Amino acid sequence: MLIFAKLVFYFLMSAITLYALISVYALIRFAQSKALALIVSALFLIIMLSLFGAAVGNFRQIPFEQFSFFY
Amino acid sequence: MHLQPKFLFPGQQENEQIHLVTRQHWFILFKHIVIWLVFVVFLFIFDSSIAPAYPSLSAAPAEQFVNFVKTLYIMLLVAGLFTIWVIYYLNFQIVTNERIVDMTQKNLLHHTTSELHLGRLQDVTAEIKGVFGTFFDYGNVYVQTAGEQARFQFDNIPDPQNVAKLILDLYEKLPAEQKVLKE
Repeated sequence: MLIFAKLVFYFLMSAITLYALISVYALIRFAQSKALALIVSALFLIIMLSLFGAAVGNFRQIPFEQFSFFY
Repeated sequence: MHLQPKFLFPGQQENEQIHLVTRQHWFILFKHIVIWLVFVVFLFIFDSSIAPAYPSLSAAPAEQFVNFVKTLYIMLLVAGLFTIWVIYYLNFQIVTNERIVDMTQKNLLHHTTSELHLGRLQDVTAEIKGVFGTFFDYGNVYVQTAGEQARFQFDNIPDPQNVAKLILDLYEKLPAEQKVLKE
């Protein structure tokens, strides 16, 4: 079940990452001002990377063995 | 807001002059952000009301799980805010001395570009409705055409009356041979 939780976690992270990359691509592709698009995209990706790091850290701290339904 | 028409856009013809680039009024973006803020408030409600009411959520082992869920939620909020801004930014209209170009981003993977030559213009209507539209001076401009697309529509743009006037003035300046005869 722990493996299942990890699979769900990485699936969620992959989906969010894919969505973020698609939105960045759409912005850079169709934006009038490429400079503004790049700056906003960089800011967005930095924030998302930070949150991704926090999510990974939080996930690793979850004591799955203490949740009885996992075992 | 109306932007300074100093930049080029893809497909611009030689000697084509940009007279106006416009997007939806800032108040429309503000309304979307207010709706987004409602979801942000959920986080604060959770921390101030729900967590104190259920102390087990603030103690191990639930605390780490709650933190993880909150982090995921914040990621979705940030992605949502970015999407709101991207959709707002990528929807704009350009009025040149020859045509009207409408760039529409309906969602992240759906982008349409529509063009209308000014010579095919038949009618232009400016519409302001509602309390906010009246106070902030934004509304719709409808451009009736003689082309395949019967009506061009500018949604919630600032100062629609002057935009309609600009389009009509540009049409009047067109050489007669470029104007489609009206039926």
